[in-house]
Amino acid sequence: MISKKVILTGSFGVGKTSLFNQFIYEKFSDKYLTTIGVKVNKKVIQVNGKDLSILLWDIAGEVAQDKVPTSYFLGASGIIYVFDLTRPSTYKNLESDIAYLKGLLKEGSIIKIVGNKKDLVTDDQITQVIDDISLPVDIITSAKTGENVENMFALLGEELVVT
Amino acid sequence: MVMDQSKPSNDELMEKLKKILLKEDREELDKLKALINSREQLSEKVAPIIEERLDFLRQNFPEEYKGVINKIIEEKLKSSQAQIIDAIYPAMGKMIKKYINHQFVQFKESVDNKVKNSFSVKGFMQRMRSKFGGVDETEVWMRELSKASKDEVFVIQRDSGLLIGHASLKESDDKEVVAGMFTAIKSFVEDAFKKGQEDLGSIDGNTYTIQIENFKTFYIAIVMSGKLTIAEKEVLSNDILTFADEELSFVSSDITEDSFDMISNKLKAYFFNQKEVLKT
Repeated sequence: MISKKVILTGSFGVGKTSLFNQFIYEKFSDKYLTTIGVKVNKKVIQVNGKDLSILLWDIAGEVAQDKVPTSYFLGASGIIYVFDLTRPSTYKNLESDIAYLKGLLKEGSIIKIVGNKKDLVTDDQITQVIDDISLPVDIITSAKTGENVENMFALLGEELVVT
Repeated sequence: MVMDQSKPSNDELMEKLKKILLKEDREELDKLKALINSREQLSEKVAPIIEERLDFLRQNFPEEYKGVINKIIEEKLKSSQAQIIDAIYPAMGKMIKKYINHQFVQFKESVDNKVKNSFSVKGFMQRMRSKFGGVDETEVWMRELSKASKDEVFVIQRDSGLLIGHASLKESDDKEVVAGMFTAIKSFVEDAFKKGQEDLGSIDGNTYTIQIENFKTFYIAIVMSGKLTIAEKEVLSNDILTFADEELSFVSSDITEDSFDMISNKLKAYFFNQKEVLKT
């Protein structure tokens, strides 16, 4: 079995822990609890007939990524950068954050940009947000309804087993 | 017979007589009524008495009500024994455990010091006396009892926190998650309190110790039940270094199932085949 470290990061309150819980435990809670430091859990998924063990690190949200301890990112094979579709402040630093993260990661690591809280916006609003962001958004999810959460990890997993 | 209309009746006379005789009493009664009906006036009169009584109670409460309170507490204790035990047991248990562990550590430190001192001339003479006079088995027995024991050994990739190898006396499902959390905690501590390039060397709980040895690309964490003395930590550290030198020089960044099993087997053989915790 292949094991990979994947980081969930992004600004505070964007739904990282909800995505984490939805992916690991398949449940959603409306309670908002600030993540203290980092929480680690594991889930094994099947990718192209192979078992992939994802060690998922849910990191406490910071306004900018350079506030997160750099050691958390070391050795990560993938990063899921989450922003909140309803709060422009959570994607206004996206470009600089992604550039900063690329500098920390080892060669061949994958970064996925994810817009969360799909359940709170209309399709037109989503299109508008995607237009406002200069980098391509990989997937739009809803941690609340579970929409696209599995797909997001499957998408990442496919690339992780290749690298 | 014709009644004299101007002459007062008996009732009227009696009323007049009452008025004359009870005048002072009635005035006093009216004053008292006014006093009772006026809250402020009543308060002015009663407050000092209540205050005086309260003062008395404050000073004499235990004496006056000791019996009653003792009875209430006694009854409450009898009727709620289970709840009271539930409430205090965890705290008491922890305190007792902590105290016993602390005493053992102190005891072990003192034994170690004695062993060190035994190499002196005085110590040699004492040992000779002990040998001819019989071995102190209690001391040996106590030392055996207080030994820490290994629970789990982890070999963890230093940056990613991925598990390279693991050995334990019992099967553990969440060893990868534990390895990840170890790494996260270690990274946090090293990042938050870093002084130069120091690595986290151990995590100490009340009843356990996690001894950590850092290498370039991985680290080894040994979870011990019980507390280790400084001397024992030193021995364990040497043990880990020897193991890493002999068995882990080939560790690569790629973790495969084969490499995981191989390292885990080596860990089991090296760290759990001995009954004794520490190599002597």
